[in-house]
Amino acid sequence: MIKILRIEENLLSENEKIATQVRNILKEKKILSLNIMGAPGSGKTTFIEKTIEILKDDFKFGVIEGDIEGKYDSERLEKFNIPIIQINTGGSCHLEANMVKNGILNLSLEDIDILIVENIGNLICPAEFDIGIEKNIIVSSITEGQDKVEKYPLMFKTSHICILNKIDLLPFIDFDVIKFENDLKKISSQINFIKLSSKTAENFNQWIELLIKLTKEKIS
Amino acid sequence: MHEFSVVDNLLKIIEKICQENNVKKVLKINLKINPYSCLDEDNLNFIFSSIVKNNPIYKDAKIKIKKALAPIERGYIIEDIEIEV
Repeated sequence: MIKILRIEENLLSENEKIATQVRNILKEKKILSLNIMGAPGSGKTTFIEKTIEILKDDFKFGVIEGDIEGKYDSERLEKFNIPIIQINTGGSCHLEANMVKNGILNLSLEDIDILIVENIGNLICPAEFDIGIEKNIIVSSITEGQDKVEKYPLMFKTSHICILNKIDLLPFIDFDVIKFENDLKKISSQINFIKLSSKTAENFNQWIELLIKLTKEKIS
Repeated sequence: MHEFSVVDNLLKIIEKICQENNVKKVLKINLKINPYSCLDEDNLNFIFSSIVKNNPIYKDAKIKIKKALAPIERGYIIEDIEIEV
């Protein structure tokens, strides 16, 4: 006999459960957490580097670095003498909640105000997996072209903040910032949009002011 | 390439249900996913069949993907399965 069995269960329910655990741990410790996502080469690590450089005397940072292989990015951040956990997925194209949970269990959370997770360089898969981190930040860049919001809508939809990086290159590259911003607002009216250059620090203060505000709200 | 982990998680859930319901054969598995998800139906079936090819309960099962979740919803939902009992 043939029949239909209704299931309605999420394949990712295990991931969701662990993401909730991560979320609760960070909430209890009053830690502001950031999930930095973006294409390879968009400038995620430089963005993180500049952020820590400016605020290292004001707040205590901790970093979880996600890469398929190598510790190149975590080595760049070592100069700040902050706790850093390097995760090598060995092939997985995105971080999942269990990886991040293992990461935070290896950090002394009492000594952290802001936890930065740098996700794998990838515009597709990281958006599909909740890792229990509070703020999703998509770092897009002038050199990637102005059509990324249209081509990768889930990434931009699920992000709270969109950083458009490398604006110092605007004189050399055809990039319609207005079109990019319009596409962004169409997909997410709530998203916070900041265009800046991590390299020259142009408009970087707008991001820093936002981060200070978010952190103070969290730790008070 | 996360079709492997999708199949892995899918089988864990379905195996439990099949045991509980004395299922002889699974014919179809209907998944609901986000419209912007990168999961590909052909790819998924290819990997699923390779993994279950020696298992008489699952070897002829076909996975169908419906991009039916709201754009902001994440997840891969097993909506229902067509079975022979």
